[in-house]
Amino acid sequence: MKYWSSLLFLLIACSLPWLVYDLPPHPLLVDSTEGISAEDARILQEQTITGIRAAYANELSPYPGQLSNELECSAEFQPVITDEYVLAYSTISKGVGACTHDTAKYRTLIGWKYCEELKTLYAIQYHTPKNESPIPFFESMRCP
Amino acid sequence: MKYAWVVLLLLLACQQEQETKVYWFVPDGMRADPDVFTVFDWAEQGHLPNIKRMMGEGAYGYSIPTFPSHTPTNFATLFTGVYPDKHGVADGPMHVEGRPLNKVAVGGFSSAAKKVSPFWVTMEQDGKHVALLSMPGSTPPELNKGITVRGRWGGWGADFHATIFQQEDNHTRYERGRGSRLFFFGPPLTKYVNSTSANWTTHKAERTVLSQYGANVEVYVFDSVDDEETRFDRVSIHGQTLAEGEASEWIPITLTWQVGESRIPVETSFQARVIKIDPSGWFRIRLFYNNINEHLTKPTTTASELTHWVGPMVDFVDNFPPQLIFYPEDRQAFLDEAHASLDWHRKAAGYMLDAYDPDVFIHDIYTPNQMLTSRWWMGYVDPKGVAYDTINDQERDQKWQEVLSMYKKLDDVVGEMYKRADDNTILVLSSDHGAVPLNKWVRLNNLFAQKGWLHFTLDENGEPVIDWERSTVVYLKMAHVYIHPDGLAGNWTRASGPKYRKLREEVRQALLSLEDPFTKDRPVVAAYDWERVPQYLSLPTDRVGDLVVVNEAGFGWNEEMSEDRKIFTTPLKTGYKQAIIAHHEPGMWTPFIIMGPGVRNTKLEKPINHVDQYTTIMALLNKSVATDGRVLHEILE
Repeated sequence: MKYWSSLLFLLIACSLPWLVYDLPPHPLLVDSTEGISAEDARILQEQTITGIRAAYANELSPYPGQLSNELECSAEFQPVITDEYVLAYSTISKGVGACTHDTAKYRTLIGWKYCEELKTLYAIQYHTPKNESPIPFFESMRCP
Repeated sequence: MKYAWVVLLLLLACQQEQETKVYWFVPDGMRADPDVFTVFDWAEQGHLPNIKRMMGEGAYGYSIPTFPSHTPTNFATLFTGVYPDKHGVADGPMHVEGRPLNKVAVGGFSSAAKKVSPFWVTMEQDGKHVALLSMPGSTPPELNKGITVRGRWGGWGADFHATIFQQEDNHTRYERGRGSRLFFFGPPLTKYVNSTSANWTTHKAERTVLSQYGANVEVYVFDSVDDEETRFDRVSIHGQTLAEGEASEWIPITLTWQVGESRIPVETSFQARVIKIDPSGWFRIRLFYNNINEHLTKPTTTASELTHWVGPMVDFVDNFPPQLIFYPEDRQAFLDEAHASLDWHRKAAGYMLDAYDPDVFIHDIYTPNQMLTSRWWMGYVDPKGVAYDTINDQERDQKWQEVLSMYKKLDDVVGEMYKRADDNTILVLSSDHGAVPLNKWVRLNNLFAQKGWLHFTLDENGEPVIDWERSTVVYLKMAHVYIHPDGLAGNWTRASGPKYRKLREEVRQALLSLEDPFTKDRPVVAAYDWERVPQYLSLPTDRVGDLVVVNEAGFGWNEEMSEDRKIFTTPLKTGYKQAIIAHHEPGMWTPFIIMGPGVRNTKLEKPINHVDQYTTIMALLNKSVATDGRVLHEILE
């Protein structure tokens, strides 16, 4: 039964307007939250940004001792945070938090587009190879 | 185009009906060995009925962890099927070239430490719906559509650690020092407070305010008996009256999560437990905060769903460094909290399987490790513990009953998965490592100071200040000695040349000849050059020290430095698991039980390696993968 409801959902979703963008050359994930005000969209966005900030903050080292007690992600790998997106290095699994050259595989953009007319917030994850920038593609995405 | 989607979805739907599910329960530190923790015998005797069912329907045996025999390395190994020299998690705290040694560069519990995608990511990429509960190495979250319920020490989310509040006592505070802070550095896990005389209704009382995470909790310790004598025996907190040993109901509270300059309010709850009240009014009260909130689950809604349907989360007992090890009353508080965590995890497993119906459910609980490395059990139940003969048989039986009660509750969690597993479900029970007695700490940095290789002074708080410029040798956790003849200051780079090799050899000889002055036992099994660690320990060369030091079971390395330069000290905790080569130490072994489609009913004749588990499970899922393990053909139909 659940598969038929998924099918129905997909058919409905295909007929709804969606964020407009060209075919992405790299892995792209877009999630939508419908029926949301601009204020609530902002809150959701802030929540994600706070979580990412916390993941990069200097923190306690695991199994610490008298010397090994503070974990630090160097400045080179700290995320860039703007009002619209977070730019970070991510791992082979496309999870953020990579803080060394050997674990940083992708340059990942986690961004948001809020479409006022649709009252819809689009959350975007776009992963390019680490020597490329995902920003131009993100900036080309627009509301329908 | 739309109709192509319809056809595609129908095909997928048909395929999904036949897809195999995986339920994998990995309790942390669940020791199983043929001699002392005879888990399979306990199951056959009827103490662990669900594990017995799994043994009767599937395959079972022992599994051996990889060095350095602890959680982050072995969770990465279990869930990638490769050794640390490939997945990169060589340890908990890791250092890399180009970064200073006084800061940890890579945290082994973070999902970002791995260079290989773990099982849960692979399964999600395969289209499976995945749910993770308390999994080390799973945060920051790597799943996009799946469910991640907190990890452990992955540096993600608003974690509010349980805190003990104790009547101010200058002697105790001085003694405990840094040991009262999370990880010796973070928020205090024990706080020392003062009280003022007051009245609680008509009773003589002492009033105190317990402040933590931006919230204040008012508490009255009072004398409940109206007689001539003042003997404090009760605590009043938020309208609830508690005696020693009692815990309150969960009480709503708003805590503050500080992230940089931001202060974020978090609506949550806490439970108060009165560990001890002395008639004089001296008290020891523990506030346990709900271990989940919207910042610790992805999606965020999972936190409120779990809190509502299962209850506030008790993830595991105590913390690091352990706090429930100092007073006799701490033992009961530990047991009560351990059972609460096991009960929560049992209910949560059932709820998550019912509510979310994941194709893949992977679940960890830290409590077994916490119990077996605490003060109260391992040293007394394992004959290799120096404390073993300090109690009588009746006392030992009592301790064994307490350990067995923990295993029974693990079995209950297995039961929740077992009853929901169908003919297409692979059900797995395994663990990352066992635990063995800890008889002596070895302060390697004091050894290096005695040799003139490490230079430090102690500040006014008794904290060491390293002269990194002059120091040429230092031990850093868990198993690494860093050596540079020109000094260890600045960004670390690996040394080379004859001067380096000479110094390294001198350090190796000093380690190998180290001897406990009382027992004459030698704690160092081996000290491997960094060049050799891939061959001997399956570790990567870029995340280890110049020497990697393996200890004999019974000993544990620590970084502590002291004015007296004493090397061997007696620990308060009696269990441990770090930096041991587990192949010849059965106390470090773990159970491996697997049942489901394609698995035949058999007992493994010899222990397997952790890398074999992932390899075999992928084979059962008809996935061809490159791993370091072998497919256990002997258990396949």
